Parts: sequence; structure tokens; C-alpha cells
Amino acid sequence: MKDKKYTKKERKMVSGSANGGSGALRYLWKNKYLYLMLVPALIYYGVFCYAPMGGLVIAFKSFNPMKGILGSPWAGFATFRKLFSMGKFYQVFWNTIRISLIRLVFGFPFPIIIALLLNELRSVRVKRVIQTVIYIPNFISWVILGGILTSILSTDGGVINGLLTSLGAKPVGFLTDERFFVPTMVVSMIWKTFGWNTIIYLAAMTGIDPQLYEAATVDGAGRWQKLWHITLPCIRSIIVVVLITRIGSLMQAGFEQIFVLYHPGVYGTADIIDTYVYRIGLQDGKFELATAVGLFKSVVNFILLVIANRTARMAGEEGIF
Amino acid sequence: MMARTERTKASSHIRESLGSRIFNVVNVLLLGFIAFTTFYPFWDCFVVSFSSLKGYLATSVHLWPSEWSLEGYRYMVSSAELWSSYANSIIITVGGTAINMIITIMAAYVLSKRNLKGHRVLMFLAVFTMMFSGGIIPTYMVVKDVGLMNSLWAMILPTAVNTYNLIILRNFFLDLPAELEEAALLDGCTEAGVLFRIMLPISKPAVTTVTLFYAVDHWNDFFSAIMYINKKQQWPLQLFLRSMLFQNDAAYASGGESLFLLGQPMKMAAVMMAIIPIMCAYPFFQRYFTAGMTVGAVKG
Amino acid sequence: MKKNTGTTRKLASALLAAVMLISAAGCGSAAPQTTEATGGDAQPAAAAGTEQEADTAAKTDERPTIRWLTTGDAAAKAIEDGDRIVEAINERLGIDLQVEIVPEANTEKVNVAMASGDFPDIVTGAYGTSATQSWIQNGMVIPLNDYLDDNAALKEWLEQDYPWSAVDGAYYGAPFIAQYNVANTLIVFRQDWLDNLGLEYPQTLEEMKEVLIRFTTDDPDGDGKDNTYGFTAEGPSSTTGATPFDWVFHAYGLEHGDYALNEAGEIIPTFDDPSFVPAMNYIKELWDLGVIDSELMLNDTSKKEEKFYQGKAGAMQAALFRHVSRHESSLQELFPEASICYDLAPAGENGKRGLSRQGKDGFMTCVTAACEHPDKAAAFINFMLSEEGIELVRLGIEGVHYTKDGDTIVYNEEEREKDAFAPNGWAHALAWGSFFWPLESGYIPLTDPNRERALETVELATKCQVPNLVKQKTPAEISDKSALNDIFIQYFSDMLQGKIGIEEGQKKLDAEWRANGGDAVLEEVTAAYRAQETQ
Repeated sequence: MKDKKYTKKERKMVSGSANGGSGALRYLWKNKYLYLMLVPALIYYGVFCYAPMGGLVIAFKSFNPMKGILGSPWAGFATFRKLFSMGKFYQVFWNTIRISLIRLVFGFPFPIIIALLLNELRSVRVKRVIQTVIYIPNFISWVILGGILTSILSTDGGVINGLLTSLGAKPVGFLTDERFFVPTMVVSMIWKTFGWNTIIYLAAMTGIDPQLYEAATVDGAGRWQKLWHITLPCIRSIIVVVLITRIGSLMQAGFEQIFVLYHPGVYGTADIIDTYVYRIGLQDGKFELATAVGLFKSVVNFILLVIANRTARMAGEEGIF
Repeated sequence: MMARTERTKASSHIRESLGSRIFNVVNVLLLGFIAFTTFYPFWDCFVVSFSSLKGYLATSVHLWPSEWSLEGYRYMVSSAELWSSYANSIIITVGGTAINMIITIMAAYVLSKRNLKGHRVLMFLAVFTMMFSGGIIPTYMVVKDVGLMNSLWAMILPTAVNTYNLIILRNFFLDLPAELEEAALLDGCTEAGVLFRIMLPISKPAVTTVTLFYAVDHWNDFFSAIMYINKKQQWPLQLFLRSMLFQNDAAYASGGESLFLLGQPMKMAAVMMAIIPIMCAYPFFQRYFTAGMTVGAVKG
Repeated sequence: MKKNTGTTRKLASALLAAVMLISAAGCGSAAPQTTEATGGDAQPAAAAGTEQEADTAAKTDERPTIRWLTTGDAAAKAIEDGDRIVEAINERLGIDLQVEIVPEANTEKVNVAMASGDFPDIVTGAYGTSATQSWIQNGMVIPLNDYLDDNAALKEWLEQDYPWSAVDGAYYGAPFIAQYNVANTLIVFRQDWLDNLGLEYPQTLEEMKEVLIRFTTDDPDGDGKDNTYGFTAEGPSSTTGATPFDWVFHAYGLEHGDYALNEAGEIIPTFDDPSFVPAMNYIKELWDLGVIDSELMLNDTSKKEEKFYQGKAGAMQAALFRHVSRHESSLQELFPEASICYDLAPAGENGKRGLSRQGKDGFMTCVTAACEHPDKAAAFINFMLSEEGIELVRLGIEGVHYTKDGDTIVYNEEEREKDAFAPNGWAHALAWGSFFWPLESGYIPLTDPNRERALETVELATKCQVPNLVKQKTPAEISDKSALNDIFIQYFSDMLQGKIGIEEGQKKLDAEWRANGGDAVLEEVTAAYRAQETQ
């Protein structure tokens, strides 16, 4: 199996060795069909991603739509200074990091575990039903789920607290008590998304060569050993890719969810950058501020992503670039 | 068909250890319980959507409509724009996903070639756009300048490639055995031939997964319609349903009947109408990522 | 790979160059369009409408197109081509009106379109926000002063109701402040619960406390279960800073909605008013007694109403006017015998009372710098504010959409159905949202069975409305007030939940509020107040 994996990495399907310094153009011409296949994507990225990206300079400008983005006067770091001088900024920054990290630590492995457990199910029918059911919450928006959660978790007639009190415990203010709010957010976020997130691992497992398992069975490998030595290694690269992208989105702590469910009583722990900035007036058209916040988050995400990718590559993984 | 052969294989196989059998039972129970909790919100919405206001208010746990009513659905269906919005959503989802897939597959295939010059730089450029985006105003300007305003294309082209999906698909291609391609190229296949005749058929699960991701994104999109589409006749379903709900809420401030009376049941009817079509599409996709999966793993 | 870095780099730079080229092209084409618009005489950036314009150009001959982008009335029916009301306006003013009502009244769409240089001729946006402020500052909308003499209704609107909206003497648009002179919020009680316990609608804070306690402890619904409490409302709002207990502050003597005056006649924040601490103590007492919805902070409108309709809460703070009958009939779904009652908010010891604040937010309709026919645009705004225009969009064309039988109006629903009228005597799609709402206009169709009651609630609620010290939002308020409101709400919530003592909290709140821009706001507001008083 190890050998097989190795040959996979040895891909030489590009024509022309190009080690003779034959020049970029000749190389391009030799592989013209390959590069041609990239053209639509290049156009897309050029037009819809890189062209608008120039607009990021709004963060450093005093934006005047009459003068356009380029013609507006420069404002230097004024917007950033304003942002960083807000007393609450640091609090919401750390809240964002904290919530994201907790979500990463618990939310990242969970779908993998569920995918592995699903893979161990005997009955295809049961597997299909369960799979179909667990991805449903992903389709229900937080606005709707939020309403359902507040009824389920209510201290006044909610199902969960009903159970707790019947077991002799005190009712828990899952959404009102500051100590429980963030855990509630994390658990409900995982609960909503894990089913959807298993899809990708299940797809990866489908690609595993059945012969590997058969050979292992012949060798007398048990279930656990097969899981550990075949299934996991075979989906490792996709796990790494998902992990890297999640690390690269650490500054996204789930705006929609928190926005729907939070309230002033839990601002201390639950107010994140996105909700804070929304409240202080993103919705009423402070575009410089919006752009500055976006840029700040992008830079932090980007640094994290590069570090994660570098680390993965050093560990012998492919990484994402 | 695959699945059936697997099952016969599984049942014909040798006796399992006690521990393994206990694990099976626990596993089914555990996953069953988890599935039950995830099913609840959907069921709640479903039941409420068929309840009357009275039925809805009567209990806080909705397991079965205590008083049936189709009012919510009737209100939604009453508007002429419902069907055109369904049509628009289907056009956007099918057409958009097709375009997504063509571009993404080609790019992912090329970028999966480790020896191709510049593939890392290009990958980096793509990933860079996941982190940095110009934001809403420059994007609006580009969409306007490209001439997509008030056209369904505005809901398709600006999201023609999703970098995350590109990464996923590329990663799947990277993991495929190299010999396949080599052999085909030696046999005189063109690059395109290799991609469409060899690579795609064997990476069905990955392609299906990414297709599903794209389709769902298109189906759920409403924000680009708010931004770029002015004509009601061109609205996608999501925006139409949202606006029906909004309209109902907005009746607070302005004229019209007090539709608000329908309250939650109507809201849930809208939710159901939005998610049921895409949920029905799921089993078609699911075939491809459950098939073959059980092989081997079942034998313990 | 390493050995080929030379080629790789060249290749990469070639590709990068290609991408940059495309990007530059994208950017480049965006900018001139915007600058063009500044020229005034250049083409207006009204790209979106050009196609239909071409279609209809032949029909309407030389009539200038007026494109109006508005958040408008999102609840209204879509306006179809050939709508007779729009045509009547076109005939009357000699224009070709194209109305674009933004889905979901999404102000962001309007803001983004404007910021991107995609100017309509007339635009309606949210007043008292950074967006409309930047339109004025950046010259994106034009002063209407030159057109006032020809447009009497507009002139009257600006000079009588909104003189303070002028910036250095220039009126940049027609503002419409929601709930400026009227209100619709009252505290609604369960009449049947009051009757069961032999109580009356509470007139004072003391009575209020007693009723709420007895609602909680004395089984007002008579079902033998301890499953009720007194009062529910929505959580505090960070845009306005309003709390669900403003009626307590006003009963303790807070006289204005936005700020307070101290003995020296200086403007201070409301929480520095002597009314604040005793009022907070009263609220805290209610909270600790458990007579208030403990999950009040989580409530939105429908959650709040649900608790009332389900018979959990015996009183709620709620908007009435057209909702009176809705509240009652929803309540009767489960409790057929139930009924509701409402009255003025409870009074404090010296008889003072108040409930909702005078509005400071609303809409503003402006003529953009790209408009080629500002005179026509101003005339259109004027028409919408005039008696004639109001009558047209509310009632329709006489003889077609309605007939007059003496003083009473007979609606012709069949004809109204053909145009964008709402059923049952309600108005046309253009009637509400930009210049009027029914509440402010006291409009409710004569045929509405609940008309009397609805109007009665408005009368009561308006009596409980508390005026503001300063009518407008100053620039510093626009930029920082919601962040400041947030600080207030956070402390308010902490005091309520006992995380911090009331007197200590008040001092800390004052310090933090002032340090985070509050002092600057006060300074600006004081200046505006002085100017207002000398006017």
C-alpha cells in the first residue's frame, strides 16, 4: 500500500521536460491545451475577484462616490486607527478567536468521526436514511433554526429544560446565561453543519480501493486496524485540506448564528467582530469601515492560512497551494 | 446495484467477534439518536407549516399538527410570481452549476499536475481570493460594467468558481493513481480526452460532491438577486419567498390586509417550499457517494 | 522543481501579468463611469433602465425619464407596465416615471448602488444614517432650494416640519421621520385576567407592580397551575437605545426621549438624570420578583406576541393602531373568551408618564447629481407631497377607482385590482414608505371595521409619546450613537441581572459612555440645541 501511495506522487504527465531552459513561451506552447483549459478560470478570477480587489483601497481612502474609488482622497490609516482605538474592539477580537478555536477543536473532528462511524454501518439502507437525515439542518437558515432553538432551550417550557427538571436538575439558561451561551452556540453550530461536512469525507472514502481492505482481511486485520491503517490514511489528504481552509477562516466565527441568537446580556463573551461592526453601523453605509474591517480579517486569516499550509507541506502533505 | 452485491457479500461473511457486534448495535443506536436530533427541526417546521395558528400556539413542541391547515401554503401559492421564481431558480441552479463544473473541472485537472510550471502560483492566486475580496461596492461596479445588471447571468457568472470546491476537486485528482493518465496519454489520448474519458468517470464521487455543493449554493442565493435584479419576474425562489414573508411583516407599517394573522405557519410553509425541492435532489447525488463505500469496511 | 525556478518564475509573471491586465481593465472601466457622473452634463449613470427606456421612448415622445430608486413600501403589489396611477402622474407632470422598489426595503442595495456611482434620478434612502449623510457631503444629491418657489407643497413640507434638516441653509431632500408626531405603542393587558382578579388597568407604577405580581402569583387564568407572569416586551434596541422599560424612566420624571437637561440647563445623557437610579431600582425589583419575562432579551416581535397569545404573559408592550384587532383575534385562538385592554402608560408619583420616544429616523428622498431634469424631479417630489398627489395614490382616479357618494367614498375594488392597489380600500404601491406611512397620516380606510379602535389607540399612544430635546441627529450621533447605545444597553442589562450594582453601574456607565465619544456627541448636540432654541 505504501508503494502505491508513492507512485501516485510520481506524476509525469506534462509534456516537455523544460529543464533545458527552453523558455517560457515554448513551454507554454507545448502545454497549450493544458493552459487553454485554465483560461475560463483565469478570466473568472481576473474579472470577478482581482478586478474588484482593487476596491480594497477604500479602506485607506476617504471614499467619495462622485470621484470614484481611484479618485477619492487618501486617508492613510485613519479608518484603522479609529477601529483599533475602539475600546471594545479588542474584546470582540478575542471573543472571535475564542469562539472560532472552540468550534475548530470540537467541530472539525466531529464530522470525520461521524463519517467513519457511518462507514462502519452494516445496512446500506440504514446508512442512507441516517445520511439523508443528518444533512437536513444545513438547509434551514439560522433565522428559522434560531426560533426553534429558543423554544427548545427555553427555561419556560422548553423541552431540554423540561428533561433536566424532571431529572431533578435546575433549569439552565442556555441562551440567557453568559456561561452557557458560547457552549450552546458551538454545539448548535456543530449540530447544524456536521452532516453536511461528512459528505466530503464519505466521498473520499468511496475512492478507497476495495482491494486494500480485502488484502488486510486476508492478513487478519481487525476492524479497528483497518480503520486506522487504511481508511484514515486514505482520507488524510482531504482532512488536511479541510483543516487548512478552516484555519484560514478563523476570523469567521459564525455571524448569522450569533446575530440571530445573541443579546446584550451575553455581549461579554459572544459579541464577535462581525456582530459588533454590524451594530456600530455597517448596515447604514460606512463603507470605509466595512472595508477596513474586512481587510483586517483577511490579513489575519491569510497569515494563519499560510502558516497552516507551510506546516502541512513540511509534514509531507500536499497542502492547498 | 453495487450496493446490493456488497450486502450479499457482507451477510455471507464469517462470524463476527462479540465486541464487533456490540459495536454495531451501539453504533446504530448512537447514529440513530444523532439523526433523530437533526431531524427534529425539520419536522417542527413541517408540522407547523401544516398547522393553523391555533394549532401552532397550542403547544411549544410540535410533533403532529393539532389542527390542520393549508393556509400558509395557500397564501404562498396565491402569487403569480411563485412559478416564475421556481423557474428562475431552476435555470440558475442547473445552468449555473453546469458552468461551475465545466470551469472547475478543467482548472482542477490542470492544477493537479504537479509537474506543470506555475501550478503552485496559480493555486496560490486562487486561494488568495478566498481571503481577500474587494467587497460589495467594487463587485457591484464590475457586475454593472460587464453588463450583467437585471440579468440572470448576474447570479451565475460572479460565482462561476468557488475556490474551496476547486481545492477539493483538485485534491481528489491529485490522489488518483498516475498510471491511468500516463497509459492514456501514451495511447494517444489528448489532455481533454484523458480528463473526460478517464479522470471524470473514476472521480464520480468527488465530482458529484462538488456539483452538490455548487447546486446548493445557487439554490440558496438571494443576496445577489437583491443587489443585481430589479424586476420581480426575474427573482429566484428564495428571494420571492423571503419577500412574501417580509411583505407580511411589513404589513405592520403600511397598507394591506393583516396577513400577519397567519404568522409562524406561513413562515414555515415558505421554508418548506424552499428546501423540499433541493432535498429531493439529494438522493440522486447520494447514490454516488455511498456506492462502493461499504466494501471491506464491513468485513471485520 | 527547484532547478526550474527560472522558467517557473517567468511563467508565473507572465500569467500574473495577464491577470493584472484583466483586473486593470475591470477597474479602469469602473472609474470613468463614476467620474462621468460628476460632470453633470454628461450621461447619467442610469445604465439599468436604458433598455426599457428605449422601448418606451417612442410611446412617450420627448418626455424625460425619471428613474426613482426607493426602499418604498415592500409590502405593496408590484407595479405593472401601464399602471394607470403611474400614467396619470406621467400625464400630469410630463415625465416618464420608472419606479424601482428595492426588495425587502433593503437600504443596503440603495447605498451600494449610490456608492458605486449607479445613480437614479431620484433616490430614497434611510435618513439619519452615514449613507445619506455622505450623499450630502459628497455632492451626490443636489440642494432643492432653487426649486422651492415653484413647488409649494415641498416648500411647506420642508419649512414647516423639517426646517432643521437644512445643511447650511440648503435642503438636500425631503425627509420623512417616522413617528415624528404620532406613536402607536401602548402596554396591552389581558382584560379577562384583570376581571378574574378584580383589578383595573393600572394607572400608577404602584398599581402596575401590584397587577404584575398578582398576574404571576394569583393564577389569573384559573387553571390551577403556576404558569403565568406579568409583563413581556422586546429586547432593547441598539439603533435607538430604547428599552422595554422606558415607561418607568418617564414615570420617574425623565422628560425627553433623547437626552435630559440638568439644573444648569446643560444637556446630559438620560442616565445622568436624577430619575435614572430610582427607576432602575423599580425595574430591578420587578425583575427580581420574577414578574417579567426572564427571556425578554431574546424576544423579537413575534416571540413576544406568541407569549402573550399563549397566555403566558398578561401584559405586553406592543404596537397597536392597525394591530389591535389582530392582537385580540390571535389571543382568542386559544382563549375564545379573552379580550385586551389598553390605556395610558402608568404614572409616577407626580403624575408624570411617557412611553415611546419621538422618532429621529426615517427616510429622505433626494434628487441626484446625475439627474438631467432636476426641475421635473423636484416637481415629482412636490406632487407626491401635494393634496392632489396624496389623493391620487391613496384613493385613485375618481370615477375609475372610486366614486363619491356625498362625503363617503365608494371603492371600486374591481378596477383597483387592475392597478397596484392593495385590497379593501388600502392604497396604491406608491402611497407608503417614502413620504408617508398610514400611521403618520392617520389613514385607515373608512370601510375598515376596526377603524375607531385603531384611531383611539393612536390617540392614547401619542399622548404617551415623549418629545426629543433635539429634533435632528447630529453627524457625531450618526457616526457613534449606536456604539454608545450599545454601552448603555450592556450596562442596563448587567444592572438588571445583578452583575453590577445600580449606583456603581451608573457611574461606570457614565465614565465609559463619555470616554467613548459620548462627550463629543454631547458637545455637538448642545450646539444644535442652542441653535434650535434661538430659531
